[in-house]
Amino acid sequence: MSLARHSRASNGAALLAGVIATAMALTTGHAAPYRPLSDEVVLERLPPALLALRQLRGTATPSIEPANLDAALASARHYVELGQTYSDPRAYGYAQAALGHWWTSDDGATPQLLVMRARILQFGHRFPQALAQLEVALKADQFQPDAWLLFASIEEVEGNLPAARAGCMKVLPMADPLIGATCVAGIGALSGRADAAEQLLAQALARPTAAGKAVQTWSWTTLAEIRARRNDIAASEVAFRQALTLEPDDVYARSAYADLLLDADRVAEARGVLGDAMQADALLLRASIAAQRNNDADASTLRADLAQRFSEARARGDETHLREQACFVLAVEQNAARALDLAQRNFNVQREPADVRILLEAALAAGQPEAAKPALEWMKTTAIDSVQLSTLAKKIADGARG
Amino acid sequence: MISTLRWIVLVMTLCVASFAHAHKPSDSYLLLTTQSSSDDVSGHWDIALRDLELSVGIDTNRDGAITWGELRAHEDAVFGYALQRLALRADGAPCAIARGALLVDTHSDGAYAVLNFSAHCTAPPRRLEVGYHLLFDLDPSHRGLLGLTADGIARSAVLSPEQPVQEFDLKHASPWHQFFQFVGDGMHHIWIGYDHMLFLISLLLPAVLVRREGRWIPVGTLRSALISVFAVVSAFTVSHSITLTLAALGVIGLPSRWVESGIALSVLLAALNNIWPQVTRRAWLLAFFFGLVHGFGFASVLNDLGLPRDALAISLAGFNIGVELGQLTVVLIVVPLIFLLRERRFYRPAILVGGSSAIAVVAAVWFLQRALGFGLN
Repeated sequence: MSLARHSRASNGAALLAGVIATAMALTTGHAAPYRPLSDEVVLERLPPALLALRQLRGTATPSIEPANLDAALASARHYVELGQTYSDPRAYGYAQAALGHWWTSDDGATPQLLVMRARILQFGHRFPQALAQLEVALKADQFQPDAWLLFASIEEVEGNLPAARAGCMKVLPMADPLIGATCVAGIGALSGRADAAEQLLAQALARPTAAGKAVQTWSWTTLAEIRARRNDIAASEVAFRQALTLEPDDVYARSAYADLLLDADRVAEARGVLGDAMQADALLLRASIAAQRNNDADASTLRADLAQRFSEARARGDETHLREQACFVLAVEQNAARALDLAQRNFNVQREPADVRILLEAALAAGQPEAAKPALEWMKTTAIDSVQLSTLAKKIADGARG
Repeated sequence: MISTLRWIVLVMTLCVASFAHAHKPSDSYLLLTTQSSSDDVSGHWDIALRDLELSVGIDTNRDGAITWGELRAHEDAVFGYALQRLALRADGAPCAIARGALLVDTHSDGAYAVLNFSAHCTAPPRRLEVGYHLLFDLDPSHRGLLGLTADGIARSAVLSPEQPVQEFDLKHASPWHQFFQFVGDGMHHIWIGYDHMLFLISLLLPAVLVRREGRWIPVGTLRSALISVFAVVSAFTVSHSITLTLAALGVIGLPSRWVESGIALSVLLAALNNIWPQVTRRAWLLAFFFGLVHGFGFASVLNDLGLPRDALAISLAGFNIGVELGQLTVVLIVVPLIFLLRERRFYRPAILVGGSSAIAVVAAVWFLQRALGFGLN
């Protein structure tokens, strides 16, 4: 699993006007406004993330300029923790507001402030800006395991594995052993050391740990993903189940487990893992793919719902869903050419195994093997162990030969 | 006015939305419409209930479920909060914003309050400045997605803390733009106005049959079917054009409750006439008579759209032509289909009688709602 598990999508840079010619289409594209028939009609049940945010709002007041930097940081930290738990963008917005003028002003900035800014920037996939903050922070104080972990995770998402590994090495002596082991093993498995990585991680997980549930979930999911890439399905499932026993609602673990089951053509089981509460796009995407494959009654509803989410994200200039959108366009809408375009744009921003995979699949489906070249090169440089990626690469090579 | 059918569709969307809270950042959707002939800018502003809960606080009993009653109870606070954070200026002079109806809509991530308003400017805006300051203080990742339609020409912009103000140069459109805009509105109204469509379909269903000695017999040729379709459609067109024009020009006016109830009644009677035939030879008379009522209905839509005073004839003609085109597409879809099916054994029991019965039920519910106010608060 990616170190940047809490990161959402991509380069928040392209945020402006002309981008949203779809804004009008989208507001006219759904049912008309209405007046409910009675006062008792429930318009909305607030999701858990919002209830938590509401409670936090009761104690913190982000709209008022914070009294001092410590207070601002404490308040921002609460919101970011909430954002990590629920993967909810609003919480990161509130965290940014909690920093007040310290979001932009470097006056009296501490390393902690820079790391907090980096965390918020990373969530919006503004990776270069986040790394710039971290660089300054770590130069000023290199004894910050959290900052090094964040640094490693961003470098990993961007596909810079040597830099990510260097970050993990800094984490190792400073953090809980399980955190260090997961960081190192996660990167190692992407760099041709899947055997050793799996062993290291399995051993670390077998030892008693003081690490919290979130860390343990992350570690189990990382192990599950390493095993999945080696096609050791039974062992991978054991690890996924461990992760979901610790944190049943974990969006990343659930969607990665669903991917494994979908790959194994166990579609109904995949839907079982996804459940009904599909708050996150990642979950809805898998549900939509599963429903389509199974000809479930709700296939078209899920598809329409997901399509609307993507068009709304596009309208605000949000490109943080390119990977999911490429998967959706390829697997559900079955438009290979468009999926390839999306997968290529996504690959420019992030390069995790899932990003490599969708680029290979889209290139193959679109009959454009040459478009897969950057992904194939990435596989060669990293020497990643992945049965799925190797199979796809072989198909592309065969196709090119034949 | 909300028709039952539309309402059912909405309930379905709500069910879908209830399990589908996307983890979408906070957005609002602000739609502004202006006409070069008018001092007013009309606005629809969709703001997420979740954002209103965090800013204004609308879940009174804090049970995590926001009801229509709770939203309504905070109507003043919601309008006050939002409209204070929106500034419209026409050529430098501020426009006074007056609130309109509060409605509800759904987007992919949940329910939104729809704030209708109209802004009165001192003159028709040539340069319109939109200053947007909603929620930026609480959540800098909030965005206002603005759609502006001026004389039928759409533009859009994203409002952000970095760029909370947008200025638009409203190049005045040619009369042709207005004309086509109204053609589009007319067609749109037919397609979304289920009552007009169901009325038309009720009249078309028996057009591929002829009544002989108390029995329905399929017509022999397409020609004879088309003659009766033509008679019905022309009669409907002529009659609703008469009342549409008279009402749009202000010559006659009827209370909208009568009109809406009358339209529902016309659908009901047309459908019942297919089940227990009374008027069989001259269906066009039925079309003509009830078309007069439908014309009043079209006129009220046209009024809601805001008739430009300087281009009254053009927009009236455009809207009417749009209605006819919309109607024509319905005819082109329905008539070939029923002509092909007319000799099938199921046509009379399932399509003519069954379909008309379903239409009659829907129309009866509309009639009760509109005439007696049942089910509406």
